[in-house]
Amino acid sequence: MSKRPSATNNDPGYLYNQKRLLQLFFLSSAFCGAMLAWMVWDDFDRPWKDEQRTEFVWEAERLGLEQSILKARTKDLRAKIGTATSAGKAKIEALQEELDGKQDELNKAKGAWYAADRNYKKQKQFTGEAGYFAGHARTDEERAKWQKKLEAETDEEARLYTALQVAKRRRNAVQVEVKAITSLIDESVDAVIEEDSESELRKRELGRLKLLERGIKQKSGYNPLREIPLLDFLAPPTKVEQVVLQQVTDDYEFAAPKKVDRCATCHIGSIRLGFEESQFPIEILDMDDGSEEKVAKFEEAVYRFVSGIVAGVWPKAEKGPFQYERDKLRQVEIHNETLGILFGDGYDPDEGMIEADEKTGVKFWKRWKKTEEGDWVTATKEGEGTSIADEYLKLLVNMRERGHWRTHPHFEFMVGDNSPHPYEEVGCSICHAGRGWSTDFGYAWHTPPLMQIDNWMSDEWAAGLDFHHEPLNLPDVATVNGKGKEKLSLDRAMAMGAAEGNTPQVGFVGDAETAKKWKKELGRSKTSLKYWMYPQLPKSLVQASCLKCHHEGLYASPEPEYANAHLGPPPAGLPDLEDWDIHAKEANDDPGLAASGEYDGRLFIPTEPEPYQPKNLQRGMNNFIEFGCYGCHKLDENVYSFMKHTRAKVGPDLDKIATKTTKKWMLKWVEDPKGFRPETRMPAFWGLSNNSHDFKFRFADSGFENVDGKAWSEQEIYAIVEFLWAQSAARAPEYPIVDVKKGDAARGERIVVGYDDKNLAKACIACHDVPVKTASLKYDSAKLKGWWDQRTKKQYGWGERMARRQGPNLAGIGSKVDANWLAAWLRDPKAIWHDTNMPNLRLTEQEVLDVVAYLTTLKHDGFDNKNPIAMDAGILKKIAYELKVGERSLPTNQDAINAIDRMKENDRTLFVGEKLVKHYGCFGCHNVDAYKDTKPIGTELTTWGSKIVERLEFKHAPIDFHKTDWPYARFQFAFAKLTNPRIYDYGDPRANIPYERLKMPRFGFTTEETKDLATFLVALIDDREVKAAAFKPSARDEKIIAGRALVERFNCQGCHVIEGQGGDVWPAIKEPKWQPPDLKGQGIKTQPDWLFKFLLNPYELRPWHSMNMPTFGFNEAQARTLVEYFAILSEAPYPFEEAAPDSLVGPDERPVAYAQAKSITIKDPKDPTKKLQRSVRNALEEAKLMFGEYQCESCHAPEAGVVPEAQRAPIFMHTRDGRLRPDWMRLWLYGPGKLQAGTAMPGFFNKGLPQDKQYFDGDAGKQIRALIDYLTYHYGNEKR
Amino acid sequence: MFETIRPHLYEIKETIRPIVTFLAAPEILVPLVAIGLALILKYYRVVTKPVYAIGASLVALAFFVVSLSDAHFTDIITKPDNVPIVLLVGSLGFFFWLSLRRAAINDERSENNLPPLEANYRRETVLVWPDLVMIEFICLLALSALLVLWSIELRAPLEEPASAALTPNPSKAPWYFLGLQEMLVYYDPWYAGVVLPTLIVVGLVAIPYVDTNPRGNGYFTLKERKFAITTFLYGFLVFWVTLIIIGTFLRGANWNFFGPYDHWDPHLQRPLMNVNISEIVWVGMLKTALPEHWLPREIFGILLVGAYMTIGPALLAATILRKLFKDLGFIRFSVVAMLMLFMFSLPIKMLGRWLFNLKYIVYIPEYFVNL
Repeated sequence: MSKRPSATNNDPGYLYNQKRLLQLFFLSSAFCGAMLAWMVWDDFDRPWKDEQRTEFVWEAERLGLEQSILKARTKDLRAKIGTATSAGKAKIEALQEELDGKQDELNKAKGAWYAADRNYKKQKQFTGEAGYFAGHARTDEERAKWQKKLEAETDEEARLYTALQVAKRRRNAVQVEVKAITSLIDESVDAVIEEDSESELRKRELGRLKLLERGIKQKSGYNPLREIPLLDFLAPPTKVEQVVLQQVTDDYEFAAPKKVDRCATCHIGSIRLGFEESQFPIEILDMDDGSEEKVAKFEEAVYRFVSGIVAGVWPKAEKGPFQYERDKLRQVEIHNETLGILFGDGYDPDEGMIEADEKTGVKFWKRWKKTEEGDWVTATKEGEGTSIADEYLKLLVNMRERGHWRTHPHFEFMVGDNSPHPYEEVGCSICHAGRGWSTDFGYAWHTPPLMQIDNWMSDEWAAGLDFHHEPLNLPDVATVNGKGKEKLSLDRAMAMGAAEGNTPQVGFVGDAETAKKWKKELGRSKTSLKYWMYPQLPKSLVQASCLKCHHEGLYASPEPEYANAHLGPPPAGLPDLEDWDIHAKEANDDPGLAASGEYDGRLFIPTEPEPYQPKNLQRGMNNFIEFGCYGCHKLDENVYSFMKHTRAKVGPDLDKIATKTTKKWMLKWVEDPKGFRPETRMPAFWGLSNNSHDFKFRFADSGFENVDGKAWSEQEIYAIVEFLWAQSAARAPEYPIVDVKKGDAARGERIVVGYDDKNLAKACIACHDVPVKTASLKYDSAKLKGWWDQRTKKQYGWGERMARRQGPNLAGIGSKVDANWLAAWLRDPKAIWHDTNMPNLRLTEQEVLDVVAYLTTLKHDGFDNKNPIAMDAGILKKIAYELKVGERSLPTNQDAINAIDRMKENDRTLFVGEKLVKHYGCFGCHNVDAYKDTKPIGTELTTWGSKIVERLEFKHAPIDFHKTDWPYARFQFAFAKLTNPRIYDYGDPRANIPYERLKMPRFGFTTEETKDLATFLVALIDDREVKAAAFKPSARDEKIIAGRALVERFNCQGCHVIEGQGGDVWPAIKEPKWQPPDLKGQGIKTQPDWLFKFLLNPYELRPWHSMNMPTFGFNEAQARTLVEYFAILSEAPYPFEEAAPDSLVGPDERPVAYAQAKSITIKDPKDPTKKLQRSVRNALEEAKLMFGEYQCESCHAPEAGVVPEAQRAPIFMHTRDGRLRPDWMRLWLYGPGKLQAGTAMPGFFNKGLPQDKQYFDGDAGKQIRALIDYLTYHYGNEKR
Repeated sequence: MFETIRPHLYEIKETIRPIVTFLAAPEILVPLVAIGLALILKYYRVVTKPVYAIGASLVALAFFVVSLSDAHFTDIITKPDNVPIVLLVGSLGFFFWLSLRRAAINDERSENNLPPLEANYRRETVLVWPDLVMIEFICLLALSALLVLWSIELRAPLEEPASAALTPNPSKAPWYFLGLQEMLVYYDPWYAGVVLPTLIVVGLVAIPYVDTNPRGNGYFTLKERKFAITTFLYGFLVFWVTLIIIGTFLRGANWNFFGPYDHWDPHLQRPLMNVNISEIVWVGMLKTALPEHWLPREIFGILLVGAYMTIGPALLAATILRKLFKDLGFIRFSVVAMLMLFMFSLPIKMLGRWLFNLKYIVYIPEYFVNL
């Protein structure tokens, strides 16, 4: 822009300096351009792309490593093919020459054909043109001209057509020739290769090598050009990996779009195999450290890695030429820095170890080395001086930094195509929550893990929470808010007990760098995600999502009872024992790798991942049921179907309490249940933070002020007990008076805890803890404690059971119950309380007296010496005022007060008690007739886990969840509440009003229990979005679930092993054969009809032992459920058992002979040395003789009641009663030890044992069948 | 560096916290701003001197820096959709000062019979090209670049999909509507959401017709347009911008007031027992039940509103605004008075609410007339 002439009056001239303006323009343009460039870059530069790019490099390296190993193995193979026999080679060369000639010929022929084809096609156009104009000519002259031309063109076309056909034929002919020669060559080459015995294998190896090369090329051929913005729509190398779920939707109230998850965009390995944790351990060990443990661990890591690669190189085919290669793998070692792989045998040890590499000084073996153990192979990277070990180290370091790349830890269960929860159907965020569609770290709502609860309450504090009636002796806290020592008030202590630091929170873990990253990334998106309903669950809470779809309560398919569990109809004829190998575990053992134990423990076998189990959730759910939480908190059983199997009330009947115990005891018990029995499930309602000494009550309406919390509580307890007592006094029956002196306490003790006393012992310990006084009776308590602890850790098929016992601890029972009641209870518990789990042990009257005599000696002295609460009429009156005023049934408060004043003292107490039983919801767990139809008092929890966090009333509780780095507030709320149920009254002025306070009692859960229960609560999610995908149990599943519920409820596993779990009493019983049976295979063992009747009315199956199945008093539905359950577990036919189809005698021909009369030799029963000749007419007679000779009755008594000491096998009478299934009997006779380890039954017919030739021609199958027929159809009848 | 001094700042913040919280309460803040504005306008020649302006800026800056030690404060002001309001506060302050400063200088000059500063500009016209177009284009480029930068660095505060069953607490309008939303607290939605905004537009449209004062064109002055500027500034600064600031920074969960350092606790409870005039009169004073029919029930309120709308202007016209009435004539004065009355109905309602928990002056839900 040229400078204009100077301004005139009419010409304003320039206002601004033009040069400056242009400079500014340039600067702003540049700035704008830079910003635009930044915008494009910002849009382009996504962290997930980095992830994928790194993955390309890594994957290429990995493939390269595989390639190196393979190359080392195939190098000599190539050489071998190269130096194949010269004759074959010459033949191939000659053929090749001929082929080359023919190829030239073919090319020429192809050219000729192509030209002819083109000429012909061109000519067709000329002909067409001529034809057109000939037909459309305007004049005759023209028509004639074109007609002539047409004729000429048609001739030409015909000529060219012929030429084309000739060329075509020629081309085809040459092609055939070429093909023939090619196949000749192929054959010759094959022939050459086949000279090598392992050619097939090697060919495949080469093929695999080629594939690897291609893979490497693909992966390392990452081309950034394809990622340039605007060009990246063509074929971008990095792509968002997403899955659109068909059955699961997002819930937006107004719309329900299909759920989209993009997590695998960054979590690259999560949905694929090959990135398993076991292959790439997080912990890379510092080799410089040199400690043996670390070296061992490192070697383990290397082994895993290499075996993983080897498994990949030699595919995991079950059978085939490669399987044995894997089996040969023996050991992996690092020598200096070289990776050595030891194979068992099978390789030519051409060359040994070579010297150090010149460049690096690293020693390595170039190829094979024969050693005493086997063949070592070490692979090197071709052309470079680095060893694979170096490469491998680099990779491991890489992998550590990419933890989120790993294959899902429960791939087989959660992600894999064949898993029950395939990725394509379930996605990620359905379990992990968060925003699945985001590809940004922060916006995906990543949540840091839940921190461990390290400084949970000290013992002192925990004790303080359970303080009883003495003023709490609180610990001095050294520093409170940095202000020196301070005696804490109870309230404050309780509050601090669950305060920050003592409540588990999510926290940023890892090094400072990582934590900083977390904070930065999450902080950026925190504000806008504040209202997201479901932030990603911390790792330890992910299991809470299981309940979303599994409303039936985490059903797990039972493990097959036998390796060949599909018993169905048993095989005709004799089962082959090999096929009937019933020990599944043996079958699963890997014979290949297991054989390597000889290598001094240096072989590390990659372990199979444990099946996934949401343990915390399972335990939380079980606790919810066992503690009877549902008594107050409804859980809709239409949603959570497992609730259908719960008991109505978990506590004992209070309507008959008056003749069971004493009022004095009850007063002390209600006041402090755990003071009497620390592990009781009965919670403490009083002595808590909002109703103890420190608490002063202010009255809402009646106007009284400042009553001491403890005094108030005591009178509440007094009134409640009075009321319950009065209630039950009218109802409780009087029980027959027993004379305890007639009982023998020592004998009683033997009944209760004498496990080796086969005449007296009952299995009380299966459900109760009993303090044993007599030294000789003491079972190995350490052992018992061991298995009891172990039991809590055990994995159960469908859940874990609690450390608490089924029934109450019998310690101190003598201080509690009335002897008459106890006797009546022992005689028939169900007669006293129809809903009890306690079975009838069918004790004799004398045994009852003995047990009563024993149990009444079990006193709780400390408890007995305590003074029960005394009535304080003044305070009781105040309580009555408060309650009556609160009732609002009278016009004014004064009227209410007057009404109370007019009451008699006793009526007033009962009035207070009645009101308070309702207020505290005692009827949630106990039967109280007055409130049998009252609704539960607690919050319904069906959708608690979906509760908006802001609607949780943290109130003034010092859990400052706003201050925590990343709150997971529902969990924290529940955790604190379960620890101190009254915590949210802290600092709340309304809590001074007696009946406005929180009233949930304190159960005294352990920290673990609290965590589990809180997890369960978080799991109660309103699940509209997954409804379509929710698990729908089949009829079979339902039956298993129902069966398990009964097994849980009646504690069947206290005695029996069911589904591989239980048998609690086993360790106490020294003789294995006296232990209650393992019920594995119960379904195929007994006939359903018999089992049904037996469950309803059990009898002594083992009359020689006092420990027999007690009478649980199942109803028919329960018995049927159990029978079905066992049948399904064993995959046995249900409901009817038919006669074995291959029975030697059909029902109609039982008496009819089926064998020809013959004579056989038997031993003389009177004198075994003599032989007798007997002639038999039919098989039954023959079987009877065999039965006699094998002396079955010497162990199996014929009838109950006449059981000699020596006879300790089940009584044959029951066989006749239809107890056993014939099919099972056949298996049993064939190999008793296979069905039940350690049985005393000898195996007469085992495979390989010589059979008695004289019976049924020595055919074991026929012998067995005949015996079964005899036992089933004839034995009993004959006796009768 | 900030992290090292943060604890000290925190101490200071905790010290001033009660004062700040007290001042931030709307019943204090709004009158304070109103009185402050009056004082500034009265002593504008003194207080606009750079030394005071710089002093005020420093105080504001110090307050800002000290407040940054508060997590909640930082959270709120760095929320991406609140950043414009922070910028607004700063830029508004600057331009308010600039115009007043210039007005002060000009007014002084005019008293000395000097032309205003703006008269010193060489010419009244410039060339479209290059002077105008170039600077416009440069501005355009620079602003575009800034917007791009803004969009990169401050991510759009996208939240979760809207759900009728789960609304954010507090639910806030876009920042420029927060003044309007604040009015909803004091008025019936129909009035605050429809009538008042319409009147704002009507009022702006009416300005050329009622404001016939020819002075003050093309230069800054306060003296020559005292009424117009004062009215505008009250309408804009006190009743719009201040309400936006309250709505953005001080209205938290459940639309409760929170101090700048207070956590927006959804469980905070504030007593809000609001009453209507009819209740005050009938129940409070006359100790009787409310009449059934709306007319007798609301008669006091209606009379009050009627008096406000009729007697008020008449009285004003006869007394303080006699000169204005003369200048404008009856119709113009009526229009101005009506607009003013509507504008000042807002502080009246606010004061009524704060002082007497007044809800409505006239409450006739039968006909949707709630004033």
